[in-house]
Amino acid sequence: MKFFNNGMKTPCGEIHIVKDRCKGCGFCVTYCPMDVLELSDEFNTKGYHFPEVKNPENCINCGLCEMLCPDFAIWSTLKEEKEVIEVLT
Amino acid sequence: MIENIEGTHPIDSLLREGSIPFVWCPGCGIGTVVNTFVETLEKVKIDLGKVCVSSGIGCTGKVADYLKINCCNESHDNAIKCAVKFKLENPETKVVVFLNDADFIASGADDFIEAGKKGVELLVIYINNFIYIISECKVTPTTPFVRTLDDENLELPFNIPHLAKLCGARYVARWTTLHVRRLMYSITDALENPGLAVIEVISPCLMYYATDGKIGETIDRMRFFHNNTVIKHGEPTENLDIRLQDKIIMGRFVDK
Amino acid sequence: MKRIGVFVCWCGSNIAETVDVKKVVEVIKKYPGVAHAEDYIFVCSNPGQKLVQETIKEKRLDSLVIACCSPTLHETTFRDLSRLTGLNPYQCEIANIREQCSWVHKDNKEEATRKAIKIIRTIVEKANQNESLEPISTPVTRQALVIGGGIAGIQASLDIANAGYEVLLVERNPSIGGHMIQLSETFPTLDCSQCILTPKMVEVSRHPKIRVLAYSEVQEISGYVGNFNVKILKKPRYVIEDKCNLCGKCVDVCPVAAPSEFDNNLAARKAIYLPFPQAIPATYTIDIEHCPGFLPIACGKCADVCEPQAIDFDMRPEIIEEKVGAIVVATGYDLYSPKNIGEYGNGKYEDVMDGMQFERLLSATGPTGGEVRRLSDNKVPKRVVFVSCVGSRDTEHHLPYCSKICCMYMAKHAMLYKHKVPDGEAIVFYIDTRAGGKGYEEFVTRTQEEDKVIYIRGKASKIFKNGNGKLIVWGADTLLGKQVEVECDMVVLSMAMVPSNGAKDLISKLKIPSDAYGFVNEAHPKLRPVESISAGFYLAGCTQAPKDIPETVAQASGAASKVTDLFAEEELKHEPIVAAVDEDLCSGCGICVPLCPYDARELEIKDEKRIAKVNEILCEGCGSCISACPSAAVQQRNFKDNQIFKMVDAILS
Ligand SMILES: Cc1cc2nc3c(=O)[nH]c(=O)nc-3n(C[C@H](O)[C@H](O)[C@H](O)COP(=O)(O)OP(=O)(O)OC[C@H]3O[C@@H](n4cnc5c(N)ncnc54)[C@H](O)[C@@H]3O)c2cc1C
Ligand code: SF4
Ligand code: SF4
Ligand code: SF4
Ligand code: SF4
Ligand code: SF4
Repeated sequence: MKFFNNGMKTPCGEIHIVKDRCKGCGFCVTYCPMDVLELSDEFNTKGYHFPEVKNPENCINCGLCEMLCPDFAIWSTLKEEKEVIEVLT
Repeated sequence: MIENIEGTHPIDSLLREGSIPFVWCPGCGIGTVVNTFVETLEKVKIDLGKVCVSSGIGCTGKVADYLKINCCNESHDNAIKCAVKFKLENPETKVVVFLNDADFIASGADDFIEAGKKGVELLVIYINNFIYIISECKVTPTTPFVRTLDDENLELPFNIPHLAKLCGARYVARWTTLHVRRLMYSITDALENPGLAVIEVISPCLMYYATDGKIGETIDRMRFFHNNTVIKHGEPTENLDIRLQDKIIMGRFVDK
Repeated sequence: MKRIGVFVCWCGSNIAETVDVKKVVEVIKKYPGVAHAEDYIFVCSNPGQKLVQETIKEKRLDSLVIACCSPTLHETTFRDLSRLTGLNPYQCEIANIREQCSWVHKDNKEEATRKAIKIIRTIVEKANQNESLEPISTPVTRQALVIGGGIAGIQASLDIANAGYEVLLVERNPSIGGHMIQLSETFPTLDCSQCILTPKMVEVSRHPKIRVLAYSEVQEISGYVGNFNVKILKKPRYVIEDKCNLCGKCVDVCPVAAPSEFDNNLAARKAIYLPFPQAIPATYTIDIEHCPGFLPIACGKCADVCEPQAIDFDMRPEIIEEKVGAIVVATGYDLYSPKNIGEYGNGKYEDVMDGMQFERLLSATGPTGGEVRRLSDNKVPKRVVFVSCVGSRDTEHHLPYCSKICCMYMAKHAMLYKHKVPDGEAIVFYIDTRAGGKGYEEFVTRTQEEDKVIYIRGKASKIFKNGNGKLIVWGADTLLGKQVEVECDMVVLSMAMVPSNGAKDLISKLKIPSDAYGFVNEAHPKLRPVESISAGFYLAGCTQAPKDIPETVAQASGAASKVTDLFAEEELKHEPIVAAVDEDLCSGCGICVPLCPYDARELEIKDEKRIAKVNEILCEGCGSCISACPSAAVQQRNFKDNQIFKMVDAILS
């Protein structure tokens, strides 16, 4: 759905991962509200599947993945603020 | 996505060098609690020189090892004792105790009751994973249902919030490691509380496999928390028994 | 045997021309029980009534039969007259010899006279066994429930509250204001809609007698006029109304955008939002459909910045139970969706919008700050086509009725467009222009003559995009009798007004009648336009039919005055013609209980015996239970079985 630009902005997050810290628990993948992540088919050096970003433009930088991760392996930072001219319906 | 190297996580500075990888199993909730605790410290901008963390034995006992703030890692049962002593000597320091069943409610129970009775200002974060893991997965005083048997524990599991309230705690809450932000709000409130504050965090343990007898993924336990908890702030603490058949009640029960 | 007086009315020539009233009187006089019979030119006239009164006294009558028009017209007149003369009103009966006799047998005087005699005899038989009854009275709860917080609900609430009664105003959206708050300027005077509405909204919020329950819906209703019990579901806003200080910091940090309802999807709002700056109650709301979630709280950024700690993610729905005496239904309208109109592109062209969206474009508080621009490329459109009657007046495919106000707002839209884009071209396709209203015709003329809006008489048959991506409107000019094709930059569709969505559900809960399209029915189209036939329910605004603001306000004030009339009574009176149980005959089988459509029947234990009793306040005298009772233990007061048998005998004799 298209919108007139009324100056409203929303953030887009950048996901950072330290692959080898990950123990593949899947908390971040399961509970990311925007379906940004998926578990990779690859293994890290410890033999776990780590998360990968599949929908980078969906990330709202909410930081939930960062808080849930028991191993400090994933976090988000603000990439950019986008003007809202469209939402998916 | 940016692939990063060791030491770049925004709160790595609060972890002791070399702590990662943590000793905990994949998906162990203790890591999540530590993460939430450290994020909260960052967020409330507390003077880290005025925080001291004490922990005892078992998996939870490792918390004090990993944090790069004032810590004391005590022997069996002595985490509270040490914390009380530290507090009495450093009244302006905020003392936080990370406890498991043994240190808290089995052999360490008398210290807790004593601390409550004296009204010592402490923040107790009790990580309840329903099991003694290191001592070969024994049943603890809080195990609600026994693994391999699709059955309840014969002994009634301890109702921790109720006990805490009766001992005189001025802040009592219960969350799971899924409720991370609510846990964060609770830690924030509890840090400001001038009395004994107790937060019970129910945490998934890879080894506690209650109903099917098979070792499952911890994510299944998180899903269990998702489907089987209900938030009821202010619920009278006598209603907070955890049973197989009921939804586990979460919330902030005492705040005065 | 009673002493019954019969008065046969001529109704001028209405009855007397067809029925031989003299003969009727002669025959009826001899009928058993009739102590007096007489004819008169207008019994309902003053001298006529005097005559009846004097005769009652003189002839010591203890029952009265007036043979005249339908009881819906003059039953009350003659029952009041009886009461004033010392006769119990339920001893007075009407024999309808006009609608049921003279009017339908105009060409057969003899038969009509015979039939009139039979009708009167029947009613004499009924009167003969009538009991004297007293109306059933019940106390009134002096609090009104107003459902819907548009201009109709706002006006009705203010009027009732200003008369000194408590009002509960229930609105399902986060703020009151309805559609009027979205309008730009209003025809025919072009005053700014928000400027005239917001003072009323503020008055509502400050009024000590009005409680606003926004973001709430009526869930359940029971009881009867004067004594309704309502259950209202208050949806959680996740923001504590009293704590939020409207700082707006939450909106700045909220990471999620959603379509704004206030701007009819033309602009975005955040997942936490204030619908519009002047919203009442003045508080933000979290829209959980768009907020990424509470279990676990995914983001929580709003709570982090909210200084007064107004955000409560754990808020729960609340059920509020209240007693009210009267209910005003003011749920308004919605627009028929352009998605239903295949030939106009099913709503898939960005630059084809509906009237309410154009209204937002014209509004200074709208997404473009009042500039007319195209959604597709943000350019000012140089030729705009306005199409009337979209969905309305289309018996074949859509809705047969006229939405009444579209001609007017279309003229307004074309005029305001020309004011904003003087070098632009406005073309209106119309079937005919309905501008009945004070100053309305003049307004349309001004649009055509001063603002040079082109009016083409005919329906637009198709709207589509050509190969260059330009919008094309095909239509017929019925005045010139030829096809026209207009290339344009934007099209505005005057969509039909339909009952607000969700109204159907509400109406079925309230059990009030509505028409085939879902508009709530008035009790009488001319004489009782602001009431429902179900006692205690009143109607205001577009919930009853499409209408403009002045009419809505007038109807709302009318409904309010009916409510205050009701509340002014000490007690409510209810017709005593209800079911009555003979406890000796009742076997306690309970067949009657589930049959009663008004929940008036229940079983109780009396002297160790099950007895079905009647709640007389709830009983509407429909007779369902009476015909079902296998022991003939229930009888309708003044319609007892033996009364009815005698009446049947009389009509067959
Ligand atoms: C494009 C357009 C332009 C117009 N321009 C003009 C104009 O210039 N001049 C003019 O006089 N008129 C104009 N009108 C007409 C005007 O909008 C209406 O006459 C007026 O708004 C009707 O008010 P209402 O209160 O009956 O209905 P609404 O404004 O629809 O209000 C009904 C309220 O009830 C609420 N509600 C609905 N269902 C429930 C429920 N189940 N429970 C609780 N609450 C509920 C709704 O949320 C809403 O707030 C225009 C109409 C349109 C479509
Ligand atoms: S920051 Fe939020 S939206 Fe982005 S990946 Fe993490 S959980 Fe998903
Ligand atoms: S939460 Fe952490 S450890 Fe678990 S899969 Fe995600 S990155 Fe890996
Ligand atoms: S931040 Fe809090 S107080 Fe400010 S507008 Fe939002 S909810 Fe209201
Ligand atoms: S919690 Fe929801 S409403 Fe609040 S800022 Fe985040 S997305 Fe917006
Ligand atoms: S007469 Fe009709 S309304 Fe009255 S109790 Fe019987 S079924 Fe109910």
